[in-house]
Amino acid sequence: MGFCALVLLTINAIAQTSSVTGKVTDDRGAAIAGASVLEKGTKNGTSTGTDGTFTLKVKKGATLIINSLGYDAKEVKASATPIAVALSTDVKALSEVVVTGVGVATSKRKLGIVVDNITSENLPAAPTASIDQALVGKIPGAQISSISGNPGDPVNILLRGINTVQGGTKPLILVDGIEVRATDINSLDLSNVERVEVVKGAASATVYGAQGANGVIQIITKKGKLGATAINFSTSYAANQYINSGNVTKAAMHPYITDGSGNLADANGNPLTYNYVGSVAGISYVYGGAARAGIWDPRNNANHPYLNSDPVHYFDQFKQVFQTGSTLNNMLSISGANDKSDYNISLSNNHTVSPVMQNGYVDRTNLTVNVGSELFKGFKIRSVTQLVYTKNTLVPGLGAAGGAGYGYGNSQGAVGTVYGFLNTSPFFSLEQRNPDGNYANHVLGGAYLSVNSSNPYYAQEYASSTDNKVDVIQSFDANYRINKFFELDAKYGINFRTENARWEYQNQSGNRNANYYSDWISNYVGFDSTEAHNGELDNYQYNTTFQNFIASGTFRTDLQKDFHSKLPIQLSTKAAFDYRKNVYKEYDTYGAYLPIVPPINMSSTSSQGVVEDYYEPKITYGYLVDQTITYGDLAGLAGGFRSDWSSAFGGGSSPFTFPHINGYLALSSFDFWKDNKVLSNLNYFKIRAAYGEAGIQPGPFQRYPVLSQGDLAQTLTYSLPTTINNPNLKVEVTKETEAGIDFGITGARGHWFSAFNGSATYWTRTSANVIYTVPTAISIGAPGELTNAITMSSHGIEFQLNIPVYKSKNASWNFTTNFGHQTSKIDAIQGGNNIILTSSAGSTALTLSPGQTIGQIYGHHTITSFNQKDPNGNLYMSAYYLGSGYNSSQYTMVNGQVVNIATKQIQYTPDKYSLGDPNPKFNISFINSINYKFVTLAFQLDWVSGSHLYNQTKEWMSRDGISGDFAKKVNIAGNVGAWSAYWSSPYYNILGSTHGGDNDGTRDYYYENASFLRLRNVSLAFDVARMTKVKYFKRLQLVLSGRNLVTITKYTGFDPELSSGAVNSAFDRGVDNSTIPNIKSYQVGLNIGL
Amino acid sequence: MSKYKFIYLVAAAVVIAGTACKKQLQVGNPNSPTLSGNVNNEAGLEAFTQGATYINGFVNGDGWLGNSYWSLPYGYAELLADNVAADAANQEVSVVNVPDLVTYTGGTLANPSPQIPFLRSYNTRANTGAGNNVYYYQWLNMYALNAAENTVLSQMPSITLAADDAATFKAWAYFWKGFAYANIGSQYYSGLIIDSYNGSSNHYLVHDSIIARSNYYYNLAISTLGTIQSATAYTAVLKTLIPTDFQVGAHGGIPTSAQWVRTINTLLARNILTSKISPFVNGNLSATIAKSSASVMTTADWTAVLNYATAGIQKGDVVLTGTAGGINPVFSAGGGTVASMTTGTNTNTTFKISERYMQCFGTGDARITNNFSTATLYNNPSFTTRYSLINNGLGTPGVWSYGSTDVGGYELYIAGSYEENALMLAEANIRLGNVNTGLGYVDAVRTYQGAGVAATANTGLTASQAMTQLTNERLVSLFGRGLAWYDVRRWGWPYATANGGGRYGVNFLTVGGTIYTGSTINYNFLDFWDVPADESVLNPPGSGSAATVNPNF
Repeated sequence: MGFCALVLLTINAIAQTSSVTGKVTDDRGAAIAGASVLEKGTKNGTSTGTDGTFTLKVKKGATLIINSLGYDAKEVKASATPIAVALSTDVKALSEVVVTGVGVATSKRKLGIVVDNITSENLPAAPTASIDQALVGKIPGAQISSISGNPGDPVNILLRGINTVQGGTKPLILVDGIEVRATDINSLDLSNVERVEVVKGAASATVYGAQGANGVIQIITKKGKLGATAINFSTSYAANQYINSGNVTKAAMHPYITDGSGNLADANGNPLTYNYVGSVAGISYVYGGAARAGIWDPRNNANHPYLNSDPVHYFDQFKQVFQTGSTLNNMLSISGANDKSDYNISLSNNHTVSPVMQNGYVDRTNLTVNVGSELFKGFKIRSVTQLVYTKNTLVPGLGAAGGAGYGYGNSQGAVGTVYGFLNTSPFFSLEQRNPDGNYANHVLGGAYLSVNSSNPYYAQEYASSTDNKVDVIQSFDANYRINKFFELDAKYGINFRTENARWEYQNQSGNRNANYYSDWISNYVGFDSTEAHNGELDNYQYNTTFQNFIASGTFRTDLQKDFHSKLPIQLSTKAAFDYRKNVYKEYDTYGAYLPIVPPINMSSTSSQGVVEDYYEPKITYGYLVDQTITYGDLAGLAGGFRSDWSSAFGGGSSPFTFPHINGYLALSSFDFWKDNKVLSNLNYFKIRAAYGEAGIQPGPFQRYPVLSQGDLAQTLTYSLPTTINNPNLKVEVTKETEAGIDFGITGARGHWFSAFNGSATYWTRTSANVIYTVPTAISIGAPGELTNAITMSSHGIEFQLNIPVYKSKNASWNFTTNFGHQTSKIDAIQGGNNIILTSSAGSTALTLSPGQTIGQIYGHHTITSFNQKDPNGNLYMSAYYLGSGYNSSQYTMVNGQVVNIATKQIQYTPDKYSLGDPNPKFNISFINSINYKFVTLAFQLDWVSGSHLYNQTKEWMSRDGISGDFAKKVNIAGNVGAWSAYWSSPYYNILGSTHGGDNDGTRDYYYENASFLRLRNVSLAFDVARMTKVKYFKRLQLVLSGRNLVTITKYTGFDPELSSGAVNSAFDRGVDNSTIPNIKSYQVGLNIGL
Repeated sequence: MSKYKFIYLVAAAVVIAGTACKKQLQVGNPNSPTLSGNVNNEAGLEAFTQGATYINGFVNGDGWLGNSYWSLPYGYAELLADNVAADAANQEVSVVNVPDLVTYTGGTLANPSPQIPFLRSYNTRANTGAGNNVYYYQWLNMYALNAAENTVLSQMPSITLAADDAATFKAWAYFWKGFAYANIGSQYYSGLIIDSYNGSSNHYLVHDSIIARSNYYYNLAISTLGTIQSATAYTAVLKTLIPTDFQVGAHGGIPTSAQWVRTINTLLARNILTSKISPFVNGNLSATIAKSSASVMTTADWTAVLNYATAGIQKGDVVLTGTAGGINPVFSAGGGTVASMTTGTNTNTTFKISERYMQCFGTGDARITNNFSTATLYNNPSFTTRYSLINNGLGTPGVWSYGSTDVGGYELYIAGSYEENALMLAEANIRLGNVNTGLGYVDAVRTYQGAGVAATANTGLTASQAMTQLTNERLVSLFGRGLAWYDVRRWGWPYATANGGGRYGVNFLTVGGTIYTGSTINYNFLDFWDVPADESVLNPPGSGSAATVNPNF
């Protein structure tokens, strides 16, 4: 947006001896409009037109100073005319112009807040071609993690602190100044991004009021540039495989009865085979018989190999499921501009085939048209249109899009069937068809092994889905610069999304295995055994329409230039009105009983039902007043407030007001600094501080006390809700103070380390009125009340350091590091009681407790010493807990755990305690770009330290002794063996119990350090067009790249980065329960510019 | 567009938007009904009364492997009575019923994690959250039912209703309040009385006081029913309160006012039985339990039971039952009842029929062959079993079927049945010395369920032998009706053998299926449960409250 031109007064000079003309361009030849051209030593000057040209009458031999925001200033002799001036981009990112979080577009040098700016060349071409993936590691302080490798799944974004519980951590997403609420950020076209600006906290996001608390990510799209029509084409292909950095396997040795040849056998020595439904009957532990309890028998030792000659042998199920997927990206763009208008049209496609058995694909096509024009002097209009069509054919259970509430966006695909395969004993082949020609869904070893098994091949045989999604993102901007003081701007954006997911579960009545076990796949007729096997057709229809209208007026003045004041004061005042309306609709239906032969559609089902018919409007609006004062280059102060109304606020009529103030002092601009020899090496040094408040709104209907409704048979009935709503619900308010420095240090004079540029910020936040359901006495008829119940706080530090490590004519090496540390805690909960939660993807216990960091996992502690005491001072290893028969000689230490010698079981505390905060202690990224002539090598290392994951995947794999650990030997008081009782005890045991309560209870055994160092990105690019001049080609670049190629971690699950919690959950961030791990990709690409 | 036009346009848009917006903010929730907007006429009250009674009372909070009050709290009742067992960890169904010690001729099997400390260690809010607190569910449902009926009663004054219609609604609400208090007072050591809309109390009362409140509301229901003039009006209202799936079946429908009164009389008799003990351990009619939280049945109590039961449910009465419908069922056919979750091959079902349950059938009982298969052995250290419950039975004409997973295949008894009432008459008569009269009722129930066994009345059985017939028949015939735990408790069996309890002469199978007859089981279970932490922690007892943790254990 062309806000940035400096209007300079032209003063008639006395001796006009010659007229010079020229053109100012950037280092790629694109015209720079609005650049100031000043005759050195005078006040004589002008500014360039939209085509970058200027004319100025100057004295003979004069020197011109050319200046434009975002570029290094340049001095040229006004000798020959026309003068061609190429300004190079300011390497110090600190002088970039940003528009996010500020009232008026401002140079970063003149900001009291932190705005991060990532330009497109710094966004890696991740195979997903999604902006959210590309941002991982790029924003200092932010924790952006890729929590799933399922194609189309979003990432978790946590910018600054967890300030809400129900609201999640997703920031506000803007495209060119307009909120995009209906469209997921990962649907936007990465290749079309000019740059991304990020403001992280309330101090900088107050201008967004009641929607700004989680920070803002603004995407600024590419516009056509002056010059010849540019045509760009790029294509890339990637092969993708799932990461298994923890080397997850299934136990290759077993503790079951074998015959004389070592083949699996039943208790009578008869060899085992697969029966007609694919199960293995008669399998028995050597000790303890054909019962689940055999796993606790201390004599059982998994020291028998599976024999390949045995019909019942070991299969590598991971290989059967996790195959190699692929991604194909293509992009074509054409752009251009003249002095009045510009255009940029691009078309891109991303096609990703899932590595899970290549069961389906996600195909996304983006068409973007960005046109702008100046209709008359000072009046510009711009239209940006993005059309996105996404088709997803992944199988339900293997990653499909769809399901209730999926249309809200930012949802993960349905991957539930992965869980079943992980819990299938390794002596079953998933690829094995039964005699009826079909896959088995559920197989059992005896009656007690693989009880939770299900087979992804069965899902692939019987289920399929097609999800079609169309996103429209349309914005119009009309901008009028009335004169040098006043500017008016009106923006209107409409963001529409319509999505239809159709899931088909074929009629499975012909599958003998499924019939035998009454184990079919379906969604809505699942409970009733007689109906589910006939299949089901589900139809989910989602629609979101979001509108955003922003009108603003800006008044700007420079007292020195406009009013000949001696004070170098610049003022700007902005007032804006902002209206947002979102309407979400969902209509879910299903039909039951499908015919076996086509046609299969709703009309061929025998009964139909409506699951959801839902309409959700939400309206919010507010106004903003912002005032900025700057004093030369020395200092600046900005402040203001925003008031918001919302249909979600209690009572609905009172606004909430969010104030903000920020300021800076550029110490290096003072004379004392410049004159000091030591300090002057620190050629740029600014201190800044900001305070602001922002909000997170309640859910659209949370303030309305309602009844629940539902049909009983064909009668509509009402019932009391299990949670009581508070009609006076308030907005969640977060208050932030940040303070920091920006600096630039002149480095060595040679090629190496010419500069050190950086910034560092400390921030602290408190959040009040945080909404969540607090527990209430159940005798009043409802177990919870939804209200403004919680106060929270968070703080952190972040810094960025950029070093041009080496720079010469032919080579350069640029290094950037981004660091962030943050922690968030619950300060108080209304009523003082803990809020008990469970991980959305499993039974892991989570608790919100006053005084504790958010996201704590609660569980039983391992008893690690004979002196360990409970909170009341009682020794666990004592008669108090273990009865009068307790004798310490019955126990021994194994791998730091107290183990009962007789039962071989690790001992756990009967009570549950906090296992700690799973969130990382810090994130740091190291980003390198090394260029030599036409070759560029870039790589990024991400290090996440101190994070933890609850490895519930392994816990479930311990239930039947499936986990690879069960084949590992352990020494228990001199007895060496792969003892099933030992390895299963973290699943089953608590102190004093051999098979007591809380099976699958949360235990610290599975709470693992998930710190990791990851080679996030590496790419090697050759520009053939620069290597040998190729006619017509501006660019002909071959890129070899890889993503997530190397992971170093102690975590024993698939991938230390994943999380099974809901996307962007505030508290459910540290559990790994059978989630699809991230992929590592090998990619080859070609970029062509004409 | 001229510059002024643009300025005006922007200014006008801001003004219009600013003023028009406020009205838009009252969006309401167009998807959901409200008390004031929907429960303001008789039709709304009907919709609310039906939904709140069944959904709040018997469905919400019961989603686990099953999906209703009749699969989870009723499941615990069958588990604790050793009628069924389970191996899944969900909701602690695999451990809630593990006895302290089984003594059989081949050895002993001790439980290193005895039930009472185990239940107590899991009575925390965190464990409720993890699905491990067995105390939670019955309390949750019954207080939700009570709150639902309080809400019904609170809405009535603002709705114009004919007198008979109003009386029917009131009788309904009083009845379910009586039912809720009965189930609190029968299961928990202490409870709360809350009789107003949005009311609360922190004054815990011992279980006898809660039963007294139940009796009060049952009687209020009877007297309210007595004021009704028009049977037509009464039937018309009741039809809207009972789900249509619960108006079908062999014994379901719309009870007449008189039939409903008889059901209440049966429940009044039940209240006496479930709140007291009448030990019958190892064949000893005079057994005593040294440590119990309930008083012992007196002759007066037995006479009262006899009187209520005499006025109780008759053969052929329509009673409150339920079935799983195919469309929008209250509970599902496969997961809504303890019976359906026991139905199927024992290797696949959640609940597995126990050897002890099967032992209660007499030799040659047609109900065995019709209902049970021994095709597969299910191994477990404490409850290995040979038996599976066949879906719908074999269909032998006239013989009872105990379980079905088919839509509409199983008729659930919600509040009293002919068999229960007859067996109360039997037990009261036996206890009052009329052994053969009592046995006559046992025989009648066996005939009713098609057992096809010889009559026992007038065959010279002693009172103790008659009582054994009675206990066997009660456990067998009332399977899945939420009574088995109360029965074994009052007979003294779950109490520690050291205190005079225990179950003697039972079959016990080891892993692999070796049968040991004549075994003894020392269950040592908690007799009346502690108040769940979700109540006692969030609503701490006020001064003068009864204990919320059973002080006898």
